[in-house]
Amino acid sequence: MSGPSIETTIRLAATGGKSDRLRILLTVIGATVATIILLAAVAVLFIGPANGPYSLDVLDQPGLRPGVVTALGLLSVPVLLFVGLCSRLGAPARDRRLAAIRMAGATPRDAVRIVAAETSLATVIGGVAGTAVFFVLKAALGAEPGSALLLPTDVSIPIVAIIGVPLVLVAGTTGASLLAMRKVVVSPFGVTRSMSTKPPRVAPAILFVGGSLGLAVLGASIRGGSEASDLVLGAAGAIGFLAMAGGLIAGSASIASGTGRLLANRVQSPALLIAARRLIAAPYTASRATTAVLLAALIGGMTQGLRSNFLTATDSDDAFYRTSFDLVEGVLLVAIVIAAASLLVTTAEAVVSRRRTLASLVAGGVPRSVLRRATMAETLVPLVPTMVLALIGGSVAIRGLTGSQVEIWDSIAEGPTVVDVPIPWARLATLGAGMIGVCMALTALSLLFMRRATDISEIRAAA
Amino acid sequence: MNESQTLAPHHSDQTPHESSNPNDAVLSARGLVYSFGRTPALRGASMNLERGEILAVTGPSGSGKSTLMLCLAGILQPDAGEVAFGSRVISEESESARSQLRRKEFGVLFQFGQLVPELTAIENVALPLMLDGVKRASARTAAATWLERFGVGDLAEVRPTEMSGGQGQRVATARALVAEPKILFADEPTGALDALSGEQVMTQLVRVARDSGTSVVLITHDARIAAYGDRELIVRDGLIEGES
Ligand SMILES: Nc1ncnc2c1ncn2[C@@H]1O[C@H](COP(=O)(O)OP(=O)(O)OP(=O)(O)O)[C@@H](O)[C@H]1O
Ligand SMILES: [Mg+2]
Repeated sequence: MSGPSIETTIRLAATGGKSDRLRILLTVIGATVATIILLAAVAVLFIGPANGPYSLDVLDQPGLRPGVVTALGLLSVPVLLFVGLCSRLGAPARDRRLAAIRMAGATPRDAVRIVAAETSLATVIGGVAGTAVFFVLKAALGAEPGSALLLPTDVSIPIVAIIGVPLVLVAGTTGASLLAMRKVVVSPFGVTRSMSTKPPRVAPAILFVGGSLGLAVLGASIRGGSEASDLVLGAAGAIGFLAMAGGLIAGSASIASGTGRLLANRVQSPALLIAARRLIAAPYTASRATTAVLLAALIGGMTQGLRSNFLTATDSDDAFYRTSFDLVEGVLLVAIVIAAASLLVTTAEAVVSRRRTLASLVAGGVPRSVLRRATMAETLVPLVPTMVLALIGGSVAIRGLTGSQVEIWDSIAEGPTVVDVPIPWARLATLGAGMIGVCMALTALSLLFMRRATDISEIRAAA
Repeated sequence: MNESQTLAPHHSDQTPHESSNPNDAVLSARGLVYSFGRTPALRGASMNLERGEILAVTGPSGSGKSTLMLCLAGILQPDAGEVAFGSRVISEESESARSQLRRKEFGVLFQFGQLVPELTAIENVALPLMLDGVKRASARTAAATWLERFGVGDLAEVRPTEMSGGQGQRVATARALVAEPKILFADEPTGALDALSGEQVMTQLVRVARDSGTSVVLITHDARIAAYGDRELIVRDGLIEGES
């Protein structure tokens, strides 16, 4: 392999200014959290007959543990996306450094490798830190032997997992950062992120609707007594879900530019006009920021659909399912907050990287409040319709999979009777409103950068 | 929105630059002091800007020209001294009052960077009017007139990223003047342009300023650009050195 040695690469990756350090710090934090989550999943996975008992039903019942492992695995997805987005943080400063490296004779691949090296290094550090925190927590929480434990603190974690988890994470975060850098062309004259302003709309729609229909067909064939093995059915379900998720995420860019186009020629408010034009010019920026939130919304919609189905089908006095779903929703809540953290990072980056324009607008008398509102609108305007789509799409898909009616035992008639599963509108609305609230709060938090970014000295900053 | 304010440039029949009455100052500064941390940038500068006057401000690099302009325009608040605009002492006003003043009474022009890259030329020029509550349609009409005046009417739907430096600067000048400011502050407006586009921007800027009676504070280190001024002010070491 030509180009700089690994040693040089790492040294180039790790030097840099304040925003470089912030980016590395956030990557380390993300990797730490992901390590803890994945090690917790491993702990649940390795609960043996000798372990327990646990006061949490979902841990005590062996049949429910795969669900917990899956939930924790899914929880690491928004963390990985967060780390991927972090690799874009402080882009202007780093971009200049990359351009300088290119001037010195590095190839575009070398420059991207430097970014990957930085992320890998930060992830390794986070992995070590996360493992340490995990074992400290495990020892601290597992103090009382004998009584029922809350968490599987008595499970011994195999050494393979301790080595494997950070390795899996390095692969994941490096992949995520390469994905975030994907459309970047590093030239000696600075970095231009190539951007297509016409994102695809038909293919994502087909994927989303197709995935949902696929789940409905799958559900119908299961209810019709399909002979297929669980593995085949499970795989079919996973493909349906992935198609929906992929369609939603790919389509979010075109929803962003679509809402932008809808508003740009109508609005009277300067803030909305700026937001709309930015959505048209850079629809992928908006969609990248909201990927994790939208995934959480899709899964949230599905969870609500499942909850409605289960609670209708079972005795409503039985607290078991209710508690289990409450737990799932708790995990979901954590996922939403992590997901919204990527929003914070992206919005802050958008503000900081445009500081010269923003500073000269403020100098010209544009109130900062207008710029704040423009930034908020840029995130929230496309997010609201896409989130509604994700929530409703998710719950409708589950309704297709599980059917809109269930058979229950009617104790008065002493026989089976068929009832409709209600669509959980109220819960969906609450979830949607809550998610938008969290997103608004974190976007608003990123606007704390606005005052410094619009300082008059920033007019001298390079573009 | 002030309904009596005309959106299209108006013509003034007086010849304002010939006025030499010292009481006619639109803006005056007394003893301005400003430091960036421990670096003194202004050390007691005083000056007057007369109605309709084009004042060239020159001086060596680092002498405090830009800092002087930022204080005069109410962007920076001086550590000591005062800036008066008519009967208002703007150096004592709140940030939001000064922000509104800059939007309504002043126009600000920098070397580059003040156009919103995602907005089209006409939207960029209409923005200050829309901020003051002018309806989108009338703001666009006025903006179109201003683009015409600067010879860039055909670029109305083009975004700044697709313009040449000179074209962008003409759009920025139209934007700085669209709200019909009393004073235009320009810091090296042609600094990033080649000689020919620089001359074009300056010719149009001066013509429009004369027509509308706008006073101009023009910062430059280029003698040819300074020659567009009615008067020249030299800044040296944070003080006004002398007038020529
Ligand atoms: N943001 C800042 N932070 C620290 N020092 C500054 C800053 N801006 C200006 N200065 C200092 O203040 C002094 C005056 O700067 P100013 O920009 O006003 O000079 P200038 O005459 O406009 O120079 P030029 O012709 O190079 O633009 C200089 O010593 C400069 O180094
Ligand atoms: Mg200067």
